[in-house]
Amino acid sequence: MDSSFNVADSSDWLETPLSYLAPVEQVLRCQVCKDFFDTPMITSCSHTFCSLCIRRCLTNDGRCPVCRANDQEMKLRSNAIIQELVDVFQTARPIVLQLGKEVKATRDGLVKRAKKRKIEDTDIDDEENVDKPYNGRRKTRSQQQSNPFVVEPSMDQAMGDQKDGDLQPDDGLAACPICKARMKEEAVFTHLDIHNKPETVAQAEAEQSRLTILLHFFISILISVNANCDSRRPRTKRELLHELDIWDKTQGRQVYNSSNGGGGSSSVMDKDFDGAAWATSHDSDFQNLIARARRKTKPKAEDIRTTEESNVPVPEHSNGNEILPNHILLASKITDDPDRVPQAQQDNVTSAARNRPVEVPFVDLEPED
Amino acid sequence: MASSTASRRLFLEYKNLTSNPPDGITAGPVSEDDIFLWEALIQGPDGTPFEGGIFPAELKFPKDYPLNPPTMRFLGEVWHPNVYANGLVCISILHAPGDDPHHYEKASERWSPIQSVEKILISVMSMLAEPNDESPANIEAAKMWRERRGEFERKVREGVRRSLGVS
Ligand SMILES: [Zn+2]
Ligand SMILES: [Zn+2]
Ligand SMILES: [Zn+2]
Repeated sequence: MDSSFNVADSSDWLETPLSYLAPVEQVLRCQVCKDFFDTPMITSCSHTFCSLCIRRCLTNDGRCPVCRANDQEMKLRSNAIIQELVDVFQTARPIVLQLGKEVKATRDGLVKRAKKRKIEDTDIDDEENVDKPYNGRRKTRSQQQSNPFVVEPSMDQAMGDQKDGDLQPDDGLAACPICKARMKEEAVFTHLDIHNKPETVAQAEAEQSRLTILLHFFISILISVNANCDSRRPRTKRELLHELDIWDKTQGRQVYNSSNGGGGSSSVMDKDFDGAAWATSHDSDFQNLIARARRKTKPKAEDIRTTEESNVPVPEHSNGNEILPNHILLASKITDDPDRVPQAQQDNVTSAARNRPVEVPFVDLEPED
Repeated sequence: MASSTASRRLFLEYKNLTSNPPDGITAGPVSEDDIFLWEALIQGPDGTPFEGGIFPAELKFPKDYPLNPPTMRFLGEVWHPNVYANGLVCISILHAPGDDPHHYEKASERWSPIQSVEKILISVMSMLAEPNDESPANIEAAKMWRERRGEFERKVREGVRRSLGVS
């Protein structure tokens, strides 16, 4: 496979004499994303994950992924020492790994030369075979000595470029959500008929998934904003928007397409997106979603307010950047009133971050009967 | 989960599986264009009627992986109580914690975001060796495995030989 598969991971140490560092690196990686911890948070059951990872897990099923104890986002605490460990380890990593590889190359070189000397001493006629696997032609000793340290290029560089890569092929086509066949975006909806669903069932499903996707969109915004509040290095509005854009293009887009007759024009992240019109036309959806969320999270009901109050100011981030674009304001108003934030949550925030995380109500996304 | 998170994790799992592969298992993306579709090869465990067989399977990952598990489907014939006629594997690690169609699985055995492709494939290998007949996906195979073990093993061996083209 090509270099896009070249990501740094703990198995890099196994190719060096420093293989005992592999388990050390594993401990510094989140068990959910398998990456180094990013803004580590510790749960009530004392398990640590990236802020974003554990928030997504808790939103998904309300349980710790390791021990499956019930937990809540508001009980998460920053695990600052782990962040420091990750930071110093990551600084040292490329240098130590390089040293490990050099030591290995030196050892291999010494072993090879020792073997060759032995062969030269004993049976000169046979020496043709020694280096054959490499290039079919015998290298001179000076060539070998001149380049004993063959070190691979840093994997971190290769990884940096592809970290946020968009995997959709850039062919201007859209994929059928069922068979993944690629076709013009506007053709997807008609094509779906091939998959033989009675129309009414398909419509009911499209309606259900449209509601679900709207709710998912709300929630994914809240999660991203909250994780950003926890971070010592909060991302800018541009970075957050980029992530939401990827979400929209992947998970969001296919549902918009199948529920809007394939026009594909109402994507939430489009530049020319008319936020106000969109909010108005989806007002009943929001009301519906909020009503359902409220029913399922009775104690928090007063925290969630309706979409009419859409002129509430956005909470300012510590660096003065506005976090959310106007058309996502609907989601942010849940926290506009400091009196409504539970005490425990405020305690958490003062130690961990400058910004108040938004509490995501736990919502069961299964269709109701 | 944002699908860039999902694909990055799949890259990491693939890297780890290739540099540190478990015995009798290989797995990786079918093509570089789609990290969400993998093919795996599982060796039939020694000392079982599946011994000597190589079983290709396809893994399809959801865009919110690892919040939810992939599905796994054997691409050839596998006569086994926990494998549907279409090859779909029915095993607790592939079931999300919330959905327990059979109401017998312990939550601790089901999918969690900390599970991995490697753990799935190891579980499937031990499933081949030890079927779970509490929740048969293939009722006929389960019945045969329970009541006529000799016939079950013969049938599996024949399938293995056919798949290797030496029948
Ligand atoms: Zn993580
Ligand atoms: Zn736990
Ligand atoms: Zn299709």
